[in-house]
Amino acid sequence: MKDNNTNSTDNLLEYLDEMEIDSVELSKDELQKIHKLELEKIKSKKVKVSKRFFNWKISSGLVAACFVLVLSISISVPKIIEHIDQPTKIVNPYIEYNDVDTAIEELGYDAMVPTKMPEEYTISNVVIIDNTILSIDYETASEKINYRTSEKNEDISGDFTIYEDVKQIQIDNKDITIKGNHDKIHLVSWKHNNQSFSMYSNQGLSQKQVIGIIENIE
Amino acid sequence: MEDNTIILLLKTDASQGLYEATKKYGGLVKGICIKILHNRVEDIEECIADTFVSLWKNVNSIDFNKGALKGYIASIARNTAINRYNKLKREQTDYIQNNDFVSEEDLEDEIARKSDSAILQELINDMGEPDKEIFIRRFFLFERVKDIANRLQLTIKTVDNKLFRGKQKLRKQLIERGITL
Repeated sequence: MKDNNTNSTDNLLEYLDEMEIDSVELSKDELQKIHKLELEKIKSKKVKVSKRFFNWKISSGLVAACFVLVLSISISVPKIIEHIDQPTKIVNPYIEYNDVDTAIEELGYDAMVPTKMPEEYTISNVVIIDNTILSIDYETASEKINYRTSEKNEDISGDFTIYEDVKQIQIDNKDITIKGNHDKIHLVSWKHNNQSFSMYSNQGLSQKQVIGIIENIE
Repeated sequence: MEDNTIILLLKTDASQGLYEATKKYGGLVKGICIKILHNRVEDIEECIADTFVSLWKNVNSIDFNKGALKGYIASIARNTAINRYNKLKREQTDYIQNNDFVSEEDLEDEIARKSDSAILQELINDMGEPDKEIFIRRFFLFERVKDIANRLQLTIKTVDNKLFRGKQKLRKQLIERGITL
């Protein structure tokens, strides 16, 4: 349970999230310059950490450290040599798949996916994000729908836009939240059988289209 | 780029994550910094960079499930800009004599300084609308009274009155809780 301090901070953050706040566009040059500054600041933070560590070592006694070092090297050299032959593992949060079935197999549970999309939509991209979210893009020549599902019990849509219209509807006994502007639905999300689902459309969908897709998710 | 993607990038690839975060929210941060640091171009750029580096440093310890990335960034930007403002004020006493950072009234200055404290946020959260938005815009985002009035389609006098009455009420509530501004 959250304490009052956390609640009031959360309230303020949520309020700021929904508020229209004046924005001043960054030029491309400004963006590059600021990004360079950011990288310098990160670098300097790392250097400071190294310096602090070095001072601590001196004050702790170099002789003792050297003794431990020599001892540990003699024990770990064989293991280090063994590791040198292994490739460095880089964690990639996005793993693309050629087809949905392979991605579901990799995901490790029977993820539900749309079996029928509006005409002309074909699968253009299948990705697993952060090992837990199956994300499928369906595209026409000019439009795109992003469908996501996960066993994570949280908002997986990645879209935190504040929409003018938000309402709850029921489709197949599921409570569905639909969000959009000007009669167009941009974001749909729901939970079912301990799984989270979302569907995002940049150009907007009609309610009939949304119902058609959700009724055919298996 | 979606917020979830930016958060993932910040966790896995600092350079790319910072670039995408700055690309998406740099304008918002600049808008906030300008209100506090005015035309100090270099300080504003430093402040924007500090804001996103701070986001990167804390990305693993923050719960973004509520989708408060925009609010969180706005909050860091505001506090980072105030810290820089205070540093400039200490270093250059003639700086900010003629700007509209906050009113010269001590109470307003104190509210602005303390408005990120939990107790003040709690009191502001309990306010009704539009007073709550007026207070947050004035004391958290340092918007001018004239701009607040325009945005909320109120007269300047109405906004001034609401700020005045709100401050009195806040002062009373804080004193009741044993806190003096």
